[in-house]
Amino acid sequence: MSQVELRRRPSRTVPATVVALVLLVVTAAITVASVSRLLDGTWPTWALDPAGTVARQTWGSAVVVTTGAVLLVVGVVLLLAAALPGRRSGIPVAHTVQNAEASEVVITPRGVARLAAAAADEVDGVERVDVSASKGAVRVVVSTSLREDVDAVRAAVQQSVQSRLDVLGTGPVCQVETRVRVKES
Amino acid sequence: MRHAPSRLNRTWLAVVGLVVVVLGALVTGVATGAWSSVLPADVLDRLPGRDEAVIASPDGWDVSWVAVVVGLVALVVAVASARWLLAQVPRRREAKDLRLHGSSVTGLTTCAPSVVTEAVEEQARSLAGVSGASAVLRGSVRTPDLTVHLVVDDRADLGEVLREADTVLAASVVTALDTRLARLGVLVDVQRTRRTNDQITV
Repeated sequence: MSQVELRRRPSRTVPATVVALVLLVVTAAITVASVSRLLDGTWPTWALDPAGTVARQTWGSAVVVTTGAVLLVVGVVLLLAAALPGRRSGIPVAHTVQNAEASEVVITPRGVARLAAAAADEVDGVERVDVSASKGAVRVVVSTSLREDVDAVRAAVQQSVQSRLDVLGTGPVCQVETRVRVKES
Repeated sequence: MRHAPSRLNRTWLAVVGLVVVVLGALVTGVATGAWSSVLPADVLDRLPGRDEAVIASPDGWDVSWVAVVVGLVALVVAVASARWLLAQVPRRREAKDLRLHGSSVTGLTTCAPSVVTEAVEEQARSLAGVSGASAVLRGSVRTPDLTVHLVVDDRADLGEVLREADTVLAASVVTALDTRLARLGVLVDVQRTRRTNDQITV
């Protein structure tokens, strides 16, 4: 059975698309130039001019040294893109189900951030909420002008966000870090 | 929900990366003279000198068989690149028509997976707090694999939504196919609840 994981590692679509596109354009141009050479008996001028410029360079010239260095760097970047697994997407929720042999429940980091933002926004005294979420933790930064009640606001926001992210009653889906900024009035 | 060709991309990126690294190392080594301290003398004699032109004899390229070989190699790489590029289009990898009763003597009963998934999507959208849904059914009748993408409001009771994804959505598919699901996948996204600025006076 073909199974598609919800928490996937990066599929490297962007570098793959760029490399495939560059290879396609370059090799298509070379194919057209070769066909033109076979039909007309000479290489087309649009291919001859750049090829002649390359051919005239000496191996020790700065252009060749730079080209070699650029190729090395690009090659290493491509190898790293292929070899490094990358982070899995999504935040897992340990939810056991009755109607399936196996289950996978995942919330997007953006979803967790929005849940946390909504929970923090419900707290009295909060004027502005900034939230960022990753697999490990959700960071909530709230602004308030209640200078005397900073600790109370922080505790209330922490409690509210943790409660909202405690989706199944077994604890929050990820760690919650709360900071309070006091707005200057 | 959609499948991207991760293994294909990583394999081809590794192949292209390796070729480019080897090419870059060769060019840099010859251009800087770095190979002279690494390679034995008989190999060094075959490498071009730093003051030699990159293509020493351009006339060698003006032979018909060179154009044929270069053209064929370029054509093969161009076709492979085009197929690699086309593979980037994400695919749902949905199941083929489900064979509910598989005897050709008594008649075949088949069901398109979209019939099941459209019902699941409609049912999901009727759940409290769910504003959008899409579903994909993979596998076969004996090993159905249901994946549901739910968009819920930020004020919704997410625990209740997840419980209903099992007891309502998955249960309906189990009843329809008369088989327990091999796998249930639920991907949850959250959207902001629309706020209104209406005023009340008490």
